[in-house]
Amino acid sequence: MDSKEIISEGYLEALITGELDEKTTQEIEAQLKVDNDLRSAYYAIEKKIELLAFRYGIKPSPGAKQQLMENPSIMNLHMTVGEREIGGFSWLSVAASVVTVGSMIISIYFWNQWQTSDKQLSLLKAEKEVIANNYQQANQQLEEVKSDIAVLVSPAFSRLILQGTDNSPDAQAVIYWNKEEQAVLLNSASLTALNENQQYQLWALLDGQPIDAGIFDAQSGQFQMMKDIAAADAFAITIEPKGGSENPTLETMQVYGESS
Amino acid sequence: MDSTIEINAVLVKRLKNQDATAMDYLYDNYSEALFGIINRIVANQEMAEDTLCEVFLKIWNQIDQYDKTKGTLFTWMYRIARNKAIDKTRSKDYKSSNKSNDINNYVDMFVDNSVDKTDYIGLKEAITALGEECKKLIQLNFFMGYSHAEISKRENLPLGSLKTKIRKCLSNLKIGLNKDFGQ
Repeated sequence: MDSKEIISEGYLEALITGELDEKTTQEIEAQLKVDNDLRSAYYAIEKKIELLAFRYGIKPSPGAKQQLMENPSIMNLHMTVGEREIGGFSWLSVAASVVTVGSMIISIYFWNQWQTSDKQLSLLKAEKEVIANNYQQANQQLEEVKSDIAVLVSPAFSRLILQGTDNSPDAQAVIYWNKEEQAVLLNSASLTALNENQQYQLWALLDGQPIDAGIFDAQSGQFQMMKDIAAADAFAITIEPKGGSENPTLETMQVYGESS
Repeated sequence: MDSTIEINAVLVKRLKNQDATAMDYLYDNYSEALFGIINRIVANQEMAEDTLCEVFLKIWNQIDQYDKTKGTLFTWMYRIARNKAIDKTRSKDYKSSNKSNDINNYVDMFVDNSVDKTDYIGLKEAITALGEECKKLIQLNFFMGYSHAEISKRENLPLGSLKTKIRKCLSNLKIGLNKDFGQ
C-alpha cells in the first residue's frame, strides 16, 4: 500500500481510533516513519481529533483523581498529591522519614530528576511564551505595515510634503490626506524630539484661519492619525506647550506646505 | 516549532522515570479530554470514572511502549481510553447496569453552550460548516466508540464509502492548528 492509497482510503483516520488489524497497522506505521508527507498528513488529523476532544471534554468528579493518585503503583516511592502542594521542604522531610538508606537514595535520585525536568518544563514554557509574544508582535507590525502600504498606494490619499521654515530648514513632514473621508495621516519622522513640556501641533489653514488638526510627538516608523480635516489651503506644524494651544504660535512654525 | 511536542517530550521522559508529579500534571491536563471520550462510550458515570482511572494506570504502566514516531502522545492515550471504554461496555457489570449508549440515542455533542470552555477561535463555525452527516459520523466514530462496521450497518452506508466519507469530513474541518492546546 503506498502513501497515496493510505491517505485516500481513510486509513489514517482508522489508525487513530485503532480499528485496523495488526498487519495493516504495522504496515502504515512503517510507512509513517519513512514518509514525511504522510507523517504530516497524519499529524494534522491527530491534532484535529485532539482539538475536538479538548473542546468537548467532560470533567470527571474530583474523587476520580484521588482514586487514581492513591493507587499503590503511583503512590509507591512517591508523595501523594496533597503533600506535593506543601512544597519542597516538607517533601524532603518525608524523604528523611523513610527508614532505609536505600529508599532515601532512590528518593533523592527521583527528586533530582523531577527538579531537572521541572526546570526544563518551565524553561520550555517560558520559551513558548516568548515565541508566542514575538509572533504576536511581528503579526501586529505586519498589520501596521499593511495598513500603511494601503494608504501609500491608495488613490484616495493625496500626498503633501511640508517643507522646513527658516526656524528649521532641514525639517520635513509628510501628510497623506483623504479629502473624501477627511482623514489626515502624518509622517513626522524627520522632526526633532522636543523637551517634555512641549508638543508639536498640526494646523490646517483655510482662508487664513488656523484649524487645530491635533497634537503629536515626533515619531518614526509609522503614520500618526490626526484630526479629521475636510478642507484646507495649507498645513503647518508649530511647537506649542504640552497639550497644545488654541491658536498657533506662528514664530515657532517648523514646516509648512500648501495643498494643491 | 510546535512547543506542545517539546513539552510532551519532557512529560514523557518524566513519566518514564515514574515521576508521580508528572502523572499529576498529565491528569490535570488530559483527564477532561479523555473522560469526554470515555463518558460518551460508557454512559454510567461511576463506571466511566473507574475506566478513566484504569486508563491512566495503563498509561502510567505502559508509557515505555509509547513511540513518538508512531503518533502524538494524545493519540496514544486516546486509543487506550477508547479501547478500555469499549471493553467496559462489553463487561457483565455494564450490561446489567441497564445503561446504554445505543446509537439510536445519539444526541449531537457539538451543540453545547458551556461557557467555561476555552474558546478555540472559529471552531464553532468550522463545525457548523461540516453539516449534520459529517458531525454525526465524527461523533459516532471518534467520540462514541462505534467501529466502521457498526456505523456502516446502522447508517446504511457501504463500508468503503463510509471510510472515505469520514476522511473527507475531517479534511473539510477547517480549523487553525497553529494554536497550542493540551497545556
